[in-house]
Amino acid sequence: MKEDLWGDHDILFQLSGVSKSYRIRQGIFERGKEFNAVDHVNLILRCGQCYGLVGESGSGKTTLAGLLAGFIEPTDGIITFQNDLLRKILKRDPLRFRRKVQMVFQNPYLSLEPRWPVRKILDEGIRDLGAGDRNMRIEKALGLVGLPLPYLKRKPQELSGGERQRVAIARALVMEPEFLILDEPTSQLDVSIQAQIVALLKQLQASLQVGLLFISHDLALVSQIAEELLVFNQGKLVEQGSKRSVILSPASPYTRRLLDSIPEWP
Amino acid sequence: MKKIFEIQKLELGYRIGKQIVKAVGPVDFDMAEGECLGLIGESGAGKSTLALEILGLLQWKAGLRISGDLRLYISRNEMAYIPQDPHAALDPLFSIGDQLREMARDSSRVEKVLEKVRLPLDKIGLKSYPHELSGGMKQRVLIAMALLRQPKLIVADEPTSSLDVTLQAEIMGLFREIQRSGIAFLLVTHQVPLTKNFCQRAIFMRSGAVVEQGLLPEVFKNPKEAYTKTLIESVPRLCLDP
Repeated sequence: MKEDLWGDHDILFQLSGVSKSYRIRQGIFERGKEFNAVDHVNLILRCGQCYGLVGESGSGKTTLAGLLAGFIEPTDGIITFQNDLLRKILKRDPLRFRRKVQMVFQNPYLSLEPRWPVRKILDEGIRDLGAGDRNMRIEKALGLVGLPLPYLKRKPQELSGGERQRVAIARALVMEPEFLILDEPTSQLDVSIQAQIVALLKQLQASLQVGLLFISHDLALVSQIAEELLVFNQGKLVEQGSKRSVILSPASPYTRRLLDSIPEWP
Repeated sequence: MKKIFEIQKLELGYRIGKQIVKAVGPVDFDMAEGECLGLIGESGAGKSTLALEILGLLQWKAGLRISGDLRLYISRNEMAYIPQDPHAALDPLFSIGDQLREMARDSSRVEKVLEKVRLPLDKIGLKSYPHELSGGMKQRVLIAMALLRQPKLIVADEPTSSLDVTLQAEIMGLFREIQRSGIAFLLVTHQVPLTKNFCQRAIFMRSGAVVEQGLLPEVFKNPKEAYTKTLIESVPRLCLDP
């Protein structure tokens, strides 16, 4: 990658030769085979950019998200965050890292604590701040995702799927992150709600200048929001580039197949 | 054109405790032989409930017909069902061959049908069990099962929503081939683009009611109702602008 082209942009994440393998046990006593969920990935993610990660089931999208968010440790290779080893940051000061990198999960029906009202869900990550600051951040985040203030008293069961996902996004935003990882944030939602969430994310990206990694199996959906596309197949990064170049002249046959699979519309 | 079924002022519901909750209705529509009809709606629209009632399976899901009329012009033996989740639809304890032969009236047709759905038999074999198959292969087995019934109508309830996009394109291609042999299709889906180039007519449903119905692609071009318009506009398109 050419460094000078980007100039003022800083490197946020740098992955060199990163692999994550799982062992699949076939019998009780056998050691089983190694399965590479993420296979020698080299990748640079920059501040404030909007990345789209596309791949089908089993391609390693969620594992990569877990690696970046620090939930999963790589079996091989090095991940750096702002030129510091991620492994060291997580050991030294995990909270500082969590403030900077937040994640929104696939299923809003599972990712919110059902016993807590929205206020407590949003408050959880910023408990160490002063009361006034916390209130301000919570109200700001709720406003950003387009929910009215009375929603703070509600519990997740009183919310629809789209509203839940908005709360999940607000929970990430109260931390005022630099980078937001969204793992299939709309795959559990209806199409009309999906369009609303994508519009919201676009608007947030423009107003907050927060970096995004939008993960989805739907290339058309990803193209709505991302500027840079990453295509994953069987754990390998098969294509990477600007949206225009990937869609108009895909280099990998797999990307071409993905493009051909999009139902003709309109 | 001969009709397959006709629905008049049909209202369907579910028993929840002592109450009956209405899920669909009243709806009116019909389907002709060899026709391909798309039933489009979001979750909770009542599309699956309606599909189950046409198949005569609603009572098994604690549902019931509240009022109205469903007139069938073909026997239910001439209908086949392709369910949404291929992983849940096959019995894990029986081999693929056993399950296919159970469906077939004439077991000599099994291999012919498997060829038609392009299941690589040399690779998997009839003795394999569902867990050895991928999602796309399982869905092909289910399509083969449906074809073995020699149906006049296939009701496919979200047949591709648990599959990858590349597989989805393959399965839709297969459906198009099957439809050319004169079998009518009722495609229940939340993905509007799937009905394009496949269905001749579409019905849009929302919270149990029919919002709009009409011929394709005219409905896509000028939808009359606001909800239909929202649905059509919500479909993500490949976007090149930054």
